[in-house]
Amino acid sequence: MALLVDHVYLDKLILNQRRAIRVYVLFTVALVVLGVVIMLLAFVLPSRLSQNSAIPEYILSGIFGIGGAFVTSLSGLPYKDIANRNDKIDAYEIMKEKIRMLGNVPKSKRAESEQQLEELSWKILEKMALS
Amino acid sequence: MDSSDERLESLTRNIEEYERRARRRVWISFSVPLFFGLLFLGYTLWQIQVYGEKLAGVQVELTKQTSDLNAAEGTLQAIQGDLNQSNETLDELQVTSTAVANDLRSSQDNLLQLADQLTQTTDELQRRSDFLAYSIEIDSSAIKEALFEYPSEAQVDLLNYILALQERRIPYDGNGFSEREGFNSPNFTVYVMQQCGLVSDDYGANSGPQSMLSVINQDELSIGDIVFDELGSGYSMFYFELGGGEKFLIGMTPAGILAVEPEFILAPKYFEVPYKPSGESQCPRGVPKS
Repeated sequence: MALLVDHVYLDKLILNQRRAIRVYVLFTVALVVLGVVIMLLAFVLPSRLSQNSAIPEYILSGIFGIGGAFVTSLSGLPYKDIANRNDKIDAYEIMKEKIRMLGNVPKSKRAESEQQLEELSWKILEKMALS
Repeated sequence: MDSSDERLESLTRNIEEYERRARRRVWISFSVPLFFGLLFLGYTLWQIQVYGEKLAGVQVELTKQTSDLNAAEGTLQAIQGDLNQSNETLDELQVTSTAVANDLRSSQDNLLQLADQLTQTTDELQRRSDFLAYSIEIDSSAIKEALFEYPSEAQVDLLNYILALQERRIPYDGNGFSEREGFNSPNFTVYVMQQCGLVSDDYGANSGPQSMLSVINQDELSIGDIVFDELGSGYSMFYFELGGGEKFLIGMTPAGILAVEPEFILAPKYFEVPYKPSGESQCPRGVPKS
C-alpha cells in the first residue's frame, strides 16, 4: 500500500507556503522601503516645494513624515499570515518525519499504521491547508 | 483508490484555490490602504499646492497693499512735512500779525492822540471862532472921541497901553507871565495893572484879579474895571466904552489880545480896579500909542 500523502506531496505544500511567505516578505520589505523613502522625502522635498509655495516647510515635512509612517505601518499586517504559514510548514515537516519513521514499523503493523497515518494526514491537511 | 485520488485531487484544487484567495486577500490588504494612503498624501499635497497658490495670490495682494500702504505713508509724511511747513509759516504769520497788531495798536494810540489833538484843535478853533464871533473892530477915531468921556487919564493910558500890546502881538500862554512868553487872561490883567502901578508888583503868575480886587455890582461897574467869568473859563477882561455908549471888553484870549462884546462873558463878576483919584498913571510910556 502506498500513501497518497507522501513526502513529495508535502514538499510541494511546504514549497507553496514558503513561496507565499516570500511574497509576504516581499510586500513587507517593499512597504518598509516605500515608507522610508517617503520619510526621507520629508527631509528633502519640503524644502524644494516650499520655495515655490507659501506653505511653511515644517508643515510639508510633517505631512510627509506622517505619510511615511502610515505606509511603513502597513508592513506589519502580514505578520499574522507569515506566522500561520510557518506553523503549517512545521506541521508538514512533522508529517514528513512521521512518514519517514513509518519504514521502521514492523511489516505486521505497517498496514495499520499506514491507515492511521493516512487518516491523520487527511485531517491535518483538510484543517491546515484550507485555513 | 480511485476515490482517494479524487479526494487528493480535490484537496489539491481546494488548496490552490485557497492560496489564490490568500494571495488576492494579501494583495488587497496591502494595496487598498496603500492606495488610499497615497491618495490621501497626493490629495493633501494637491490641497497644499492649491492653497499655496491662493496664499501666493494673497501674498501678492498683501505686497500690493503693503506697497500702497508705503506709498500712502510716504504721501502722509509729505503731507505732514507740508503741514509742518505750513505750521511754521503760520507761526511766522502769527508773529508778523502780532507785530502788525502791535503796530496797529500803536498807530491806533497815535490816532487817538491825534484825535485828541484834533479835538483840542477843533475846540481851539471853535473858541477862536467864538472869539471872532464876539470880537469887534475898534475904530481909533471912535476911541479918541471916547477918551474924553473917560473918568481920568489913567483909564486912557491903560487902554492905550493894552492897544499897544495888541499891536505888538503879545502871544497867549496858559502859564506865562511875561511879554516874551505871553499870558493867560487873568495874568494879563494882573500884568497890565502892575505895569500901570495899580496893584503891587508882588503878585505873580496865577494870582488872579479876584485875589487883589474888591467885588462890585454891575451897576457900580465903571470904565477900566474888570469883568471876570465865573463859569470857569477864567476870562478876565477890562471894561471900556466907545463913543455913543457902545460897550466892549478887552483882554487876553487864546487868539491873542482882542476886544469883544460884553456878552462874551456868560457869568460876569465885577471887580473894581483901584485907579488913583488924581488920575495919575504909571503905564509905560515907551509903548507907542495908537
